[in-house]
Amino acid sequence: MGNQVGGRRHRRPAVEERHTRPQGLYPHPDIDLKKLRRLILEAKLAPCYPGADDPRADLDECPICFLFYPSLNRSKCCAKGICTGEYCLVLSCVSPSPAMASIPVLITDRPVCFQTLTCIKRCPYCKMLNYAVEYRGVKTKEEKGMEQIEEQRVIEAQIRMRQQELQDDAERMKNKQTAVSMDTVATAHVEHCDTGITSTTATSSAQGNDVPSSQVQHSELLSRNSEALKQMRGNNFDMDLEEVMLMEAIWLSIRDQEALGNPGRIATASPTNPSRSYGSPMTTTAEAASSGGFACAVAALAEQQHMNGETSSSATCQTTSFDVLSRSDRSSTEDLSIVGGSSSDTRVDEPSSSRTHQIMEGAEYSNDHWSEIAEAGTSCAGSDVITVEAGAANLAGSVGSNIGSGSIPDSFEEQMMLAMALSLVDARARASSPGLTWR
Amino acid sequence: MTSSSSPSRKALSKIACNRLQKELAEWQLSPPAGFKHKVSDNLQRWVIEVIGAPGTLYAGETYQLQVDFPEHYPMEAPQVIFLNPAPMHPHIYSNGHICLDILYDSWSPAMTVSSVCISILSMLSSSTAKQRPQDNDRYVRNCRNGRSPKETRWWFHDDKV
Repeated sequence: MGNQVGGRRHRRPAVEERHTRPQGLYPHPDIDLKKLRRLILEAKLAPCYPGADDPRADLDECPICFLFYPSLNRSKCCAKGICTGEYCLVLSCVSPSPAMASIPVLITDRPVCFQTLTCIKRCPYCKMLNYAVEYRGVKTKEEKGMEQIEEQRVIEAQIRMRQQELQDDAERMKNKQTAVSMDTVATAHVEHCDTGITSTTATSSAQGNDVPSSQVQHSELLSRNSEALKQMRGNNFDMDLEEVMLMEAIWLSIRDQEALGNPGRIATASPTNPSRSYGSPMTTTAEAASSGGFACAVAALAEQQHMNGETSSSATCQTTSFDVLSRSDRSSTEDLSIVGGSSSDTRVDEPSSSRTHQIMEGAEYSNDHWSEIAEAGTSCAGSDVITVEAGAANLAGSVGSNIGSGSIPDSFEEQMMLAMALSLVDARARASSPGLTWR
Repeated sequence: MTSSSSPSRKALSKIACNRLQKELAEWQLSPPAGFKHKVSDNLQRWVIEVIGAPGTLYAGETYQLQVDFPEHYPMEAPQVIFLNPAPMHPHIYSNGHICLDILYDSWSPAMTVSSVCISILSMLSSSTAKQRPQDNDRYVRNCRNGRSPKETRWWFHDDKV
């Protein structure tokens, strides 16, 4: 150790003698131990460190034995890591599987492969022929930094892509909302559901194109298929925002409609204005909010129900459809907590329990929704004094239960009509205009 | 552990045991969509429920996969078969054997139970007709003595499904 040789490329710490032998985890019937030792000492193979069970920042996981090592060998073809123990095993052809029957050029000189004709020497990761590894020592800080940066970039790109989609969707929605009259809103929502589904598939395929660059280094992601998971999480996130914006749009449009009917309505809808501008003692801002919220909740549920019915029948790709199902399920929870906050506090945590059984119980689930909203409606009416509203709520309750027991897709338009009817009835009643006519 | 069911099967090696425990933990943390691992204390034989993907021929149907791990897993492929009744599929024989290359020749130790499961579900999902393979009867007759599908010399002819 006295005179340091200027190793510019690799500063190799001397490998301890005990790390030049396999650690006993593996059966090594055919390995030339002397050659293995020499290769490790020459830093052509990673030392046989004992693998750690738990991850640590300075350790790399071997994608085959799932243990953590200070350093791994890299395959020459795709730069994926492999610990020396596994590499020996792959080469020594312990397995009768032809895929593993690599000709062990590096470790043993004996041809261990039993069937030379069917013998395929392929990389376990990318199936490239002539599998061989090299050892580049412990990953340097720069290398790790680069990996992290790359990972970060991929995530950022995915977020950007989603935001773009959201914006497009929102713009499309806005255009439709402003241009199209209330009567066609229902179909607009149906279309929106459809685009929601297709955009999900688009995202996943786009991700498929995007990700491989990062996969090269993060093999554990691929090998454990957390890819699909990431997508699911991502889509959930996507849906929530989308859902919120959608609700906002419905809410706004309903308010606009009411405002069109009577220009003074907007003032009541804003909770900061306590004035009772219509002379009727029952009209308060809280009521306005709650009934408006209620109408919205009905609309949201109608849509939700429709989506549930739709996804179970039309989706083709398994993962996508499951995403959509769980997403729509989840978003229904959030709709109510956001929009119907004033009318139902009890519902917020309920549906999450049935989330995994969604596929089987689609029909029952929607029925539950309806009976619950009917309850919410009546309780809401109970606290209010307005008779018209109570009547409307009862109407909602009865229609709700009717729809709940009826078939789902046919009644979607009716459900939307109900929501509109409610808000209109409300608006007219408050303006104390006697006519209850459709626009 | 389960030597009673097949005396020739050796217990898992240390590395196989270690890896399977980690795979199971990972599975419990985030199971692949559409699958349920049936709880048992047998690490060497997993029974997994498969739920047909919505929108496919097998939507809503439930099947059971039995995965047996060899001593030298993951160097050696697990044996994966459908328990009775096996789904009607052009690549699935009525005795539950599955004609899928990654279970045999194309197995790689970088694969996991969960990736195999996803491949099988994808194979199911892309089926256009519920039917048995053409040579079903002959093959099943040949396997009557309880032969493992891993002993079959598979001829993978259809790369579409």
